[in-house]
Amino acid sequence: MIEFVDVTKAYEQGSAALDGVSFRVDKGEFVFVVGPSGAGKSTLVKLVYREEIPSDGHVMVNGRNVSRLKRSAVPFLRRGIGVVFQDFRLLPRMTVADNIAFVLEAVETPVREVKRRVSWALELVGLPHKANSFPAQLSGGEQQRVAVARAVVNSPAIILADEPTGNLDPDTAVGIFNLLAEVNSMGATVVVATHAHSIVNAMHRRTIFLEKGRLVRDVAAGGALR
Amino acid sequence: MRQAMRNIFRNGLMSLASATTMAVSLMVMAVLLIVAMNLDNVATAVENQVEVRAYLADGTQKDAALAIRDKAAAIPGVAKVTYVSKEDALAQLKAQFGDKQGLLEGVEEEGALRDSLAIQATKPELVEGLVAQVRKLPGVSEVVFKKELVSKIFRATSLLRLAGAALAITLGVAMMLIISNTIRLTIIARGAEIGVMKMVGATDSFVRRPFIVEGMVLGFIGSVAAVGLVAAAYSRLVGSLLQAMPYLPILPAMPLLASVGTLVVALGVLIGAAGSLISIHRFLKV
Repeated sequence: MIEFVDVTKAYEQGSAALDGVSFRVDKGEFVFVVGPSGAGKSTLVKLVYREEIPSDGHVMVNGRNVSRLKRSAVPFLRRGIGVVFQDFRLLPRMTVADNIAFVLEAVETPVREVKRRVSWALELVGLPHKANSFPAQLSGGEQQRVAVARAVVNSPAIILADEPTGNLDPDTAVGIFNLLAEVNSMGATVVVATHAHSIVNAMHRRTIFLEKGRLVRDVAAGGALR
Repeated sequence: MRQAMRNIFRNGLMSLASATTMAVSLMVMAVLLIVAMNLDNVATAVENQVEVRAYLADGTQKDAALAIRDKAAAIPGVAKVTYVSKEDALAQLKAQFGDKQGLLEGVEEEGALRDSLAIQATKPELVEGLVAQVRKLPGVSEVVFKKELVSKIFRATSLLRLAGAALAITLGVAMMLIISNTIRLTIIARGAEIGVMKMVGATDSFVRRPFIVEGMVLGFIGSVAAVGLVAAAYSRLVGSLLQAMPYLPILPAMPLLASVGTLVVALGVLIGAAGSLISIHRFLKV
């Protein structure tokens, strides 16, 4: 599903954010990417949905080399990927339902289908009663649930989360991780970049450790080194 | 479309400012067009007055003259040939001199006047070629036309047309930049929205669409306002001018205003769309 082959990403100034990273994530896997800030977690996520292009090596998503995609093909890659960010990125002037519907409209989904999917997604994240609220009226945890609903509403094969609980208290964070695990159990491949070590340890999932841009350990769900 | 209208209202003041700017520039454009078309009208009239005169050999009978006239009329590029006899020429002179008939004394007796053919070309630029052919006709003794006048008129009118076109293009570019600047502000205001759209896989054309519609609507509003004002002013002007000076070679309000109006509105919409396209182009490189 996702494969990094000897990927290096150097930004214009400074040292490499990623340095010769290789790993593979199979369909239906749930993978944590952990490491201190600046280890390259965000860069790794951005490379998957082609916000960034590797300086060296290549990133394969669904068997396709992401850096070789034509500009016009990028939107279609992204339609197969849902992304959740640390800062939620909800549009403040739209209601919760509109925020979710907006992404369906952006990919030109028929109106009737939009309604059906929005209520399904709100149901999934447990917020059907907040459909007409505005993001500012919700707690941080609720806002992140809306962001998860937005990421999954299209039923993408891949869900990426970049520090999804960075702004949340630990209890709320557990809820978000459980939600992502539930999405995973429905068939989506999930990659979560985080530094919430205690939760990662408690969840016993495959974990990739980054340090200074290098992959230092890749531990399978059972605890074995890969 | 719905989204474009929503944006126009949301950014009310900004939209008003850009539609007004559009209207003012398009007004200048419309005035320019009207002036240009009037000048063109005058130029065409002057060009059409360029006449070739072919004098016939002495003693040519009227029948023979008419035969030559028919041959001349058959030359490609000739619009009209009129036979002017000595008597006709004298009558014309007399009419021109009016009360100074004394000056014409003796003209008739001394044989200063000759029979001739007055030839008009379909297009002024054909005059020189035509003259060469008329010269070859048997029975024609001399061909006279005002060569210098023809080329001068030509130079003047083509220069005029060139200057008009250059001015129009400059104005158009300036307006495009104005529109693109205004729309850029609304795009910056909606940067987060565009970012989310791009992130979830909206195509460039989907992101672009509402902005282009917005630019077109602003262009339409601005141009309709401009045309309305200019049309009202011009019809009034023409009305009073023609009343005072009926022979002024000024174009009547219709159909001139209809064609200028259509052109200006089309330009406004086009420039609005182009302006939006320019400013959004930069934002799509995500």
